[in-house]
Amino acid sequence: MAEQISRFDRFMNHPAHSFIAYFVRLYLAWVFISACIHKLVDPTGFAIDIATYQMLPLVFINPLAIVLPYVELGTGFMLMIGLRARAAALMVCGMMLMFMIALSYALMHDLSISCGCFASNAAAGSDPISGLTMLRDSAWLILAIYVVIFDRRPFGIDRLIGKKTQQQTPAGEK
Amino acid sequence: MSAEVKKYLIILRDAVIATAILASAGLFINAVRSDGLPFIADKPYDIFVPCPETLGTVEVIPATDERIFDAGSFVVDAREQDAYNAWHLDGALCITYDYLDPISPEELKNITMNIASSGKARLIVYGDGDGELGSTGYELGRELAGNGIKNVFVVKGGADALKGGK
Repeated sequence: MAEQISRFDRFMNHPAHSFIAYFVRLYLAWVFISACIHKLVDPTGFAIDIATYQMLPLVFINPLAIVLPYVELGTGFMLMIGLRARAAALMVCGMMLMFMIALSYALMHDLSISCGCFASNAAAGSDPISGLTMLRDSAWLILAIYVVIFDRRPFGIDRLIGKKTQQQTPAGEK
Repeated sequence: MSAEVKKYLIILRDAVIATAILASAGLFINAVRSDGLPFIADKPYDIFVPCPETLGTVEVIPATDERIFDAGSFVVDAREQDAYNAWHLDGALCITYDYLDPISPEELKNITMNIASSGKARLIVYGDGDGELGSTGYELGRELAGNGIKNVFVVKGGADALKGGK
């Protein structure tokens, strides 16, 4: 049993995870930063995109349109520079779940719209949501979950802070 | 509480704090930018959601095309029952197309099922008019094609052209 636990721990703490997760983080960072650009440039267009889903009451549309692009941008940078990388990945999980609920709602109601992920509905009329959009979002969700679970010593600022803390902590006080 | 659970709670706490900071930053920047949104919209947004396209594409063929009379073709007559009774192609099924009295989705589904289960290779539709956009044959053909029927052909010139060709 003890051997099984140590094997499990060894697998979970294997240094290869940090390398794999580093590239996964860079990819997710690129996805989120590129997804937020059009929302930051044209907040009204993004508010219309949210309204097009016909899912949220009017009072929630503008607050979400104001806040979400900055959360996406910040999350992208946190993933990229390794600042609270696992927390950022958890934020990605939350956002992906939210997007997938919205997509399912639109698919269930046969709304022939673009997802509004990388361009507004007006600009992306030829990119309608479909099962493939759900599949793509599911893949990103799985990648984010991987980072949350396996990126135990993330490359970047987290690791630098961790090293400094270890140096400052006297031996035997762990 | 195990150390592992504590670690995940710390991750969750960090995520909540980061979200709150980023959301506050978003609200602040929105407040100072000239084209910022009002926090609550004062009137509903004009949204345009196009209806799912129910019309398919058809090919218009001349009344002399051999495929019309081929055994592998399922033929539909889109004209009124009286006109159908007066004359129709052998084996043609009468499905009257009326602009003012559209076929219900259920009826359309039944017709589509019948045509699909016939095992024929193609569907030929003829009606009144020239067989072009706006004529009964053309519009019925597009509706059936939009319901999943493949290889839909519409006879140019409609029933008159077929009668003339005979």
